[in-house]
Amino acid sequence: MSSRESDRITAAQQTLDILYDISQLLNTGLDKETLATCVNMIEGGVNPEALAAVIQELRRESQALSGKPATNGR
Amino acid sequence: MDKLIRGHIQKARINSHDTFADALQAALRTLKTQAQKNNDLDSEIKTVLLPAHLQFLVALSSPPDEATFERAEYYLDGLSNPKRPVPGLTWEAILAEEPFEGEHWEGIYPRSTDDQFDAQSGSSTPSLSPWDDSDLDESVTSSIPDIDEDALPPEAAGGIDKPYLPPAAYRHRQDVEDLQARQYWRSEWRTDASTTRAFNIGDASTLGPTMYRILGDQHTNGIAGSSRQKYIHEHDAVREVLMALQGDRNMMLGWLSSGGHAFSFTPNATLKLLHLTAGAQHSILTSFARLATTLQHLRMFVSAIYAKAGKDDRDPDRPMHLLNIYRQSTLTLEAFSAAVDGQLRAFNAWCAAREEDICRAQAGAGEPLVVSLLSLDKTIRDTFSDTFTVILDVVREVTRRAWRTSEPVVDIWTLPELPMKMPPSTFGALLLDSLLVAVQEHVSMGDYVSADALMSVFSGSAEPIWAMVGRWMKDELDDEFFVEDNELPLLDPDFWTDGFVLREEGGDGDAPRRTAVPVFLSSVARSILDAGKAVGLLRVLEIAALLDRDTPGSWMAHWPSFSAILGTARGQLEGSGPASRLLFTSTEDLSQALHDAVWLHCSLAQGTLQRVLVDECDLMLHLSAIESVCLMRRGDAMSHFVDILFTKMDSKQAWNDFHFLNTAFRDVAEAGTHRWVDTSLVRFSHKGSKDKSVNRTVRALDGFSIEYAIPFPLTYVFGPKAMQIYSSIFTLVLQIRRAKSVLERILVRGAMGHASHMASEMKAFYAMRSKLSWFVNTLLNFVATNVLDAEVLRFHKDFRQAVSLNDMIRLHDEHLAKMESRCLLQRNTNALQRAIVSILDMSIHFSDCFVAFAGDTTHDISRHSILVMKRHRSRRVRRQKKDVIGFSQSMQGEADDSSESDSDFDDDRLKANAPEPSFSLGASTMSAPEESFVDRLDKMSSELDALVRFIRRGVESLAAGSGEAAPAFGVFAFALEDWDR
Repeated sequence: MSSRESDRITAAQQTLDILYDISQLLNTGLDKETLATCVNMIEGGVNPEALAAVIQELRRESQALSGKPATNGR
Repeated sequence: MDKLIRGHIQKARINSHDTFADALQAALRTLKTQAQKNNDLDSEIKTVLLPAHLQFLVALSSPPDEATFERAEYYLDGLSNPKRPVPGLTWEAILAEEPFEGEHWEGIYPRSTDDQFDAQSGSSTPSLSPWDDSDLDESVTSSIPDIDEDALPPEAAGGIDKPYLPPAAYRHRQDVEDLQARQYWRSEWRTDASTTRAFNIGDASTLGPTMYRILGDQHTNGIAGSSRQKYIHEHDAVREVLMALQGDRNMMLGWLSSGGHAFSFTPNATLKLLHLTAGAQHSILTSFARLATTLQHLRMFVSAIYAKAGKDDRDPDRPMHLLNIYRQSTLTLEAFSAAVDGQLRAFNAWCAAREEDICRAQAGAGEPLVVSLLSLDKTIRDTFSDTFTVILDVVREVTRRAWRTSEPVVDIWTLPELPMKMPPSTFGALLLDSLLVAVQEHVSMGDYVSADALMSVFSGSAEPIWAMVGRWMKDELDDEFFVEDNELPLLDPDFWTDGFVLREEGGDGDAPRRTAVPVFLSSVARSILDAGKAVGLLRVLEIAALLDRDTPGSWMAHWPSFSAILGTARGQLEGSGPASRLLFTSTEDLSQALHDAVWLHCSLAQGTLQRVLVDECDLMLHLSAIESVCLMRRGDAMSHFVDILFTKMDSKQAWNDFHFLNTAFRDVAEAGTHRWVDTSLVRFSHKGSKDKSVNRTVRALDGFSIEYAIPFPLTYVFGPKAMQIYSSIFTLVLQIRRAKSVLERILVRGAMGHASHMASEMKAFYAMRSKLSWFVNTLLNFVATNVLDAEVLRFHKDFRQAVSLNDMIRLHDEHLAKMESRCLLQRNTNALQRAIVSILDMSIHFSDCFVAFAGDTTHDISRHSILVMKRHRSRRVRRQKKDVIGFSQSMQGEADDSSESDSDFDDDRLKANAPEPSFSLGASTMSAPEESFVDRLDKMSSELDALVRFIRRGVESLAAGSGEAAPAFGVFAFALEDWDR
C-alpha cells in the first residue's frame, strides 16, 4: 500500500472526526458509527435532506413504539 | 451552507452561549482548513460533498442543551491546549490501522510514515530525549520502553529477542549526576583532591591548604580571609578569568560599583587554588583584575558613546546652541569608539577561542593543552600587550583636557553626557594627536603589538576627518571640520584669504592658540584648504569643466578611505619586515602619504583656477592696465595727464576736483588709437582739501588715490590694500614729477641778463637750481628705472609661472612690498621719506623764492591768459610777503593731518643712528623781510646738503644691509655718491 493511500485514509479519518465534532455541537444525537454510515451514504449519492428526513422519521417511529415523548424535534 | 451554520452561530451568540458559538466557529474553520488541505478527488470524503454533509447535520440538529455546552467547552479546551502525546492515543491510532496490523507491516512501512502520521494527527512527535520522560512519574515511565520500541526505527526494534533496555530514567539520572559533578560553580561541588593532607614538598597541591591552615589560624593575613574556603581546579579558574575578561559574571573577579575601589574588578578571596598561596593567587588575580577593569571601562565608554550617538538623532528638540557648539558626541569620537569596540570584540573573540580550546582539550578533541593562570597572563600580554591600557589612558587624558580639569578622570563613560569645553573639531584633533603620539611612543619602545592595535584604532578614528577632507574638496563643509567658515560675502575682497580659514581655538590669555588641525594633517591642511577654496570659487564661476559633481568618474569621484591610503603606503614598505612596516607611523611618513594622496587633486584644482583666471578673466590685461596707470608705465599718456594736472595747479584752479581728474584722464587715455586701458574702470580721487597748499608742499598730493574697478574674481588679487599701495607709489612719482616740473619751469639764463646787478645772485640761484634738479632727477631715475621697471619685469616673469591663486596673491603682495620698500614708502624708512619730501618741498620753495626775486619768468608752455596770471602773480607776491614759510613747521603740520597713523610709528632702525632731518629754515629767519635772497639761498643750500647726505647715509646703510633690496639701494647709493663731486 502506498503512502498516498494511507494519507487519504488519514485525511478521511480526520474529516470524519471534525464532522463528528460538529454533529456533537449541533446536538444531532448521532453516534460516530451512525455518522460514518451516513457520511458514506451521502458520499454514495444520497440526498442529505432526504436522509435527514428518513432519520427523523425513524426516530419518531421508535418513539411511538416505546411510547415515550419526543426529546428532540425541530 | 456556510450561511446556515453562521446563522446557528449567531443564534448562539444572541442567546449568550458564547462558548458554544466559539466552538462551532472553530469547528467550521477546522473543517475548511482540512478541506483545503485534502483537495483530493479520490479521497473517501470528497471536498465537494462537504456542504452536503453539513446540510445533513444541520437538518438533524436540535437546540443545544447543557450537555452540548459542556461538549463545546471541552472541544475549545482541546483546541487551545493540544493534548500531550498521551501514549494511549498513539497506541490506539496505530491499532486503528486495522488492515495493516501485525508483524508484516513493520518491514514494509518506512519510518517516515510513523512520523507523518504523528504530525498529521495534530500532536507533536513524542520526544525521544530521555530528559523529558524523567519528569514523569513511575507509572508512566513503565510504559515508555514499550512505546519507545514502537517508535524506534524498525531496525532497532526488529528483533523480538532483543535484550531488555535498562530503564532510561536511571541512565539519565546518572548523566545528570556526572554532569553536575563537573559543575564546579555549584556550591556543593567539592574538588576530588584532598585538602587535608599534610604538606608535602613533592606535591604542589598541598601548598595552598597548608598555607591557609597556618595563616588562617593566626588571623594575620587579611587576604586569606575568614570565610569558608573552596578549592577549584586551575583550568576552571582560567575559564572564570576568561569570562571576567569578557565582562561576564564570574566567580574569580567581582565588580564593585561602590566603595573605595568603585568601578573596578577585585579578586574573589573565597575561591582557592590548591597549589597557590593566597598571596600569590591574589597578586596574579589582581593583574587580571586590572586588565578586566580597563576593559570594562572601555566597554562602558563605548556603549555610552553609542547610546548618545543613537539618541542625538531622535532628539531634535534640544536647544540648537547646545547641539552645535558643544555637541558632545563628535563623528571622530564615534569613529574612535567604534574602532575601540572592534578591538574589544577581537579580544572577546580571542578569549572565547581560548575557552573553546580548553573545553576541547578537556573533551579530548583538541590538542593537549597546558592551562594555567600565568600562561594565560603571558599569552594575553603577547597577543594584546598594553593596547587597552594605552587606549584607556588616551581617553582619560583627552577627556581631562576636554573638560579642562586638573584631576585625573576615572568615569570616562560620562564623557558624552557632560558638556565639553572645546569645539568638536579641536576635540577631534586632540584625540587623533594623542592616539598618534601613543602609537609612536610604542613603536619607539619596540612594542609593535600595541602599536599595531593602536594604529588600527587611529586609522579608524581618522576616517571621518579624512572623509570630511574629501567632502571639503568637493565643496561641502562639515561643522566638525578643521576649516572654518567666516561667513564673509563672496564679493568681499578678503573672502579668498579670510572667508575660510583653518580653525583655531584659544589664544586668549596665556594659553597658546591651538589649531583644530590634527598633527598628521598639518602639512597638507593648507593645500587642502586652498584646494577646497579653489574648487568653491570655480563652482561659483560656473566652470564645470572637471568639477561636475554628477558625472561619474570625474572630480573627486573616488576619494580613497584613510585606511586604504595607509594600506597603500604600508604596502610599499612591505617585505622589509613588520618592524619597519610599523615604523611607518611617524608623522612625517603619514604626512607624506597623505600629501601624495591629495596632491594631485590640490594641484589640479589650483591649476584650473589659475588657468581660468588668466585665460577667462583677462588677468594680465588688467594687471598691465593698472601698471600703466599707477606706475606710469605708459609714459606718454601719463605725462600728458600729469602736465594737465600741473597746469591746473599752477593756474590755481581746483585741480583735485573728482570730475576734472577723471575727465582729464579719460581724454588723455582715449586720445591715442591704441586702447591700453578701459577708462571706465579707473577712478582718480583726492581726499582732503589741501589744494591751496599744493604750491607750498608736495604733501598736498598725498591724498591721491586711484581705484581700479577690477572684475569679480580678480579682486582677490588686486584688493583694496594693493590698490592703496599702488596709489601711494603713484603719489610718490607724482610728487617727484611735480618738483621736477616746478624746477624746470624756472628759466634762469637769458631772461635776467639785463639785470647785471643781479648777476652774482643769479649764479647762486642757478647753482641751487641745478643742485635741486640733480637730486630730483636722480631720484626719479632711480624710482622709475631701478625700482618700478626692474621690479615689474621680474614680477611678470614670476607671475607667469604661478600655479595657483595663492601663489598669485603672494607674488603680487611681495611685488608690491618690494616696490614700496624700494620707494622708501615703508614705515621703517619714514625718516628718509620725509627727507625726500623736504627736498621736493624745497624745490617748490626755491621756485617761489626765485619768482619773488626775479618776477615771474617761469616758462610755462600752457599759460593761457596773461590776465589770469597777472592777478595770480600779484596775489602770490602779496602772500609771499606776509606768509611765513617754515619748512619744519609746515612739515609738522602736514604730518599731523595727512598721516596721522604714521606719526605714532617712527622708524625703528634709522632713528638710532640717524638724526632727525631738521629742515631748519626756521620761521624767524624766513620771516625777516629784510633778509637777502643770497642768505636765504645759502641756508637753503646747506640745508639741502645736509638732507642729501642724510638720505645718502640712510640709503648706504640700507644697501649694506642683508635685505633683498640691498642691490637696488646700492644703485641709488652709488648715484648719490656723485653729490660730492
